[in-house]
Amino acid sequence: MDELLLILHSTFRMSTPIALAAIGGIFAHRAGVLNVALEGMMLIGAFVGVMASFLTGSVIIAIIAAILSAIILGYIFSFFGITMKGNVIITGLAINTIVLGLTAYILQIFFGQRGVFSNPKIVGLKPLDIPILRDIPIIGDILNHHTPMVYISLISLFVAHFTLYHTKLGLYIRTVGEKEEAAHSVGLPVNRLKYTAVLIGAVLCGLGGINIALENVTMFVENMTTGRGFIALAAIFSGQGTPIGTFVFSFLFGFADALQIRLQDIDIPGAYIQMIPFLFIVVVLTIVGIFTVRGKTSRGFKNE
Amino acid sequence: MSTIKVVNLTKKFGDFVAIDGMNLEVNKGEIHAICGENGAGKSTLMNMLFGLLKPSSGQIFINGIEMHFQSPKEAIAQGIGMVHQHFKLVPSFTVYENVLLGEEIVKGFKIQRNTEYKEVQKTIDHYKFDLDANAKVQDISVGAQQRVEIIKMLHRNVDILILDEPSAVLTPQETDELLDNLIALKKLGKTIIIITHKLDEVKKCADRITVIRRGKYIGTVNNEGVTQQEIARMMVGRDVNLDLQKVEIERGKPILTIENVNAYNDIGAQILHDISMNVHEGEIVGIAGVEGNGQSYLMNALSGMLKIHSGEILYQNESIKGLNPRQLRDKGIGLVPEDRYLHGLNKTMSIKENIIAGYHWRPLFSKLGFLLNKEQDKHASKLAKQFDIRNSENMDIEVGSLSGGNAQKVVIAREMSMDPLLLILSQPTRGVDIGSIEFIHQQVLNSRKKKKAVIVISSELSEIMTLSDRIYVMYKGRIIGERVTKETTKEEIGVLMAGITGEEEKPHEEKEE
Repeated sequence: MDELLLILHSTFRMSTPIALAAIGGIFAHRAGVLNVALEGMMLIGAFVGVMASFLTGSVIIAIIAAILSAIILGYIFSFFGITMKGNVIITGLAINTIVLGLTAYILQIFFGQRGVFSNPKIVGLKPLDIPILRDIPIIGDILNHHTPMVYISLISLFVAHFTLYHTKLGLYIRTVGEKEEAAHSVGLPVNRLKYTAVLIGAVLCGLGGINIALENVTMFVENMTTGRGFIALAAIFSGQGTPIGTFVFSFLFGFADALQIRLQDIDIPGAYIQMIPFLFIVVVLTIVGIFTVRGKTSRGFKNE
Repeated sequence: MSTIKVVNLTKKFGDFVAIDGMNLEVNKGEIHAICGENGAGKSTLMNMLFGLLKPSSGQIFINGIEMHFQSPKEAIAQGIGMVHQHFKLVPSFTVYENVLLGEEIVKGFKIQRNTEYKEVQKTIDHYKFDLDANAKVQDISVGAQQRVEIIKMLHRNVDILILDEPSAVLTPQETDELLDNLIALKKLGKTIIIITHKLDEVKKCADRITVIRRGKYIGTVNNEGVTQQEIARMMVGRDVNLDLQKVEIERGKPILTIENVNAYNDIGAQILHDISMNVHEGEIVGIAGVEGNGQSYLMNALSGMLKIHSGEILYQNESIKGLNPRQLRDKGIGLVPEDRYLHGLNKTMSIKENIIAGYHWRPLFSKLGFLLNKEQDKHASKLAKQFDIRNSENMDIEVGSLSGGNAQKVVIAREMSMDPLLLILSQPTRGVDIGSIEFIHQQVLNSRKKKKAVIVISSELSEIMTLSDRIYVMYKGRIIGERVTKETTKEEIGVLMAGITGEEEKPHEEKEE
């Protein structure tokens, strides 16, 4: 029982960065922009967050800096992908590669570190002890004592849902993604909406990234996002672009991650254990795929 | 005073002059038809009136004031609304969300759905349109979607309504309903411009007709006192044969026999019920029916795109159930799909490539997995000449840049050039101009002359009546009637299409054999 509660508790912890990036990514997804740069946006958030925390000693400044850095990437991505109409996949991958190289480079040149940067001066995100949750059994055990990001990710789920389905912005973003001509024909600012969608994603990726770096470990490790941006993309697609569905899948993937961490004590080579989350994703995607294909009676594309 | 006046308007795309010194006057409160073949520049002209394109030179006056629209939004503000041929609606949104797109009613940040719904329903009821504001656009018929587009404009208080090929996607019944709606709107004082090449519709509703050809103004005539033949001549620039002559042909042995075919869609609803039919050598069989009564599914079942649950399809006494389109083509079946850009062509590939696509691996065009460029070129230019594919001196240009009629000719040419024993055509002349329709029909009749079997699926009843020897009528996924064309009338088929059989169906089979 305790073991299960522990795993669920750390599931929330592990799924938070994925959920943040995924919920942010929903907007670009619904606007019809495939944002593969989620990964890079998270990594820059992690890196800049650690740097700012190290230099200023303030978590707040670290968070703001992380968000700003991700927004800059969002602008770069949007400029090439949307304004210049470049291929968004190539643009996104280029951003990921640049961030990976840039962070390692800065680390080595300015801090003389290779691979890992850790320093006692880095201030981390502290877990919160929430009085109401403290006294509720089970739920308290699972939901209490998390960093603020965990709660932000939960709040962002509701905000995203409301924005997407109950505000003009959400309606327009969905219009742009589903039928761009419809948006053009009534004079909606299509490109500006796409930019907005990408930038919302960037903000949440920044938060997700800083959570990875400052939540438990308070250090920066080269490529420390290890594909979470892509896992977030998988969550978006599996959840069919709805905030709730996406959150559920982020949670599932986070669960696999948590399981992996718990199982590291067992005497199996670590590499195998670390494969669990990724195997899990392949399995989940396969199942989702089977369910969508099953019952199909038409070959190829459907007439729509 | 004319409500729209266009003076010496010209639009160039690079070197290509799409509209050349156009003049046009539209009076207030009239239905004005703009006629011309595909590629004549009708849409270009209207897009300039609606602010989607900027004229290269010339002037546009609305109610006597010169306008320079920068965007559709400005045109709408001046009371000009346009319903495009391809609807600009968001499928997953409701009718009212689509109507109010860009003009949502909000309180704080929250969209007031209930108020929106009521507002839109009020407009719909005011114009007596048959629409439910709460329905999702993806769930309603194409005709209803078009009504959404019209309401979308009316809700924005436009006085001038431009409709671009409004009937291209409609069934005959829906077209009649549309024309009635347009006449009702005219009586309410709206000015309507309708772009079309369907002359019977023009005759039914228009007050005046302006004909354009290759971007040039040909003339404006009053609807009264002009015949379809005369309009067609103005459009094409030569006499057009609207009635094709069919020679008598002895029909041969059966080529395709379909027995009790049933099929289901993805969500498990039955879409084809007990379909049985046959086609013989030297015979054209028409499948008539109001669109959405299963003809598309039948086409998909016949072309290997839809899984058949039970029943049998025999081609020359051999089952072809479950074969894919390539295997079917190998067996000598030519397939012209319903949507040429979805299943018929690859828009971004060249004419040359499209004209052999599906047959490209045959020894004629490839050797050891390499395409034979020279053979391809020869084949393409031969067919372009034979099938009169125009504006195609260069076989390497993208198919997507061809007009609808010429693109369709590419598909027809491809399938016919392989000399199929059985040719299945679905909506062969949808969105195709008169000149090309005449040509395509002639080609179909030639196949029949060569003792081939042909199935024509079409929602254009006149097309079915012109071409076929025998007609099956589909209604709600069933074949509810079979008639020999010579022994029936357009009216009788029309009644069947509405699902009225009168009495128990008598099988015609014995009588014909």
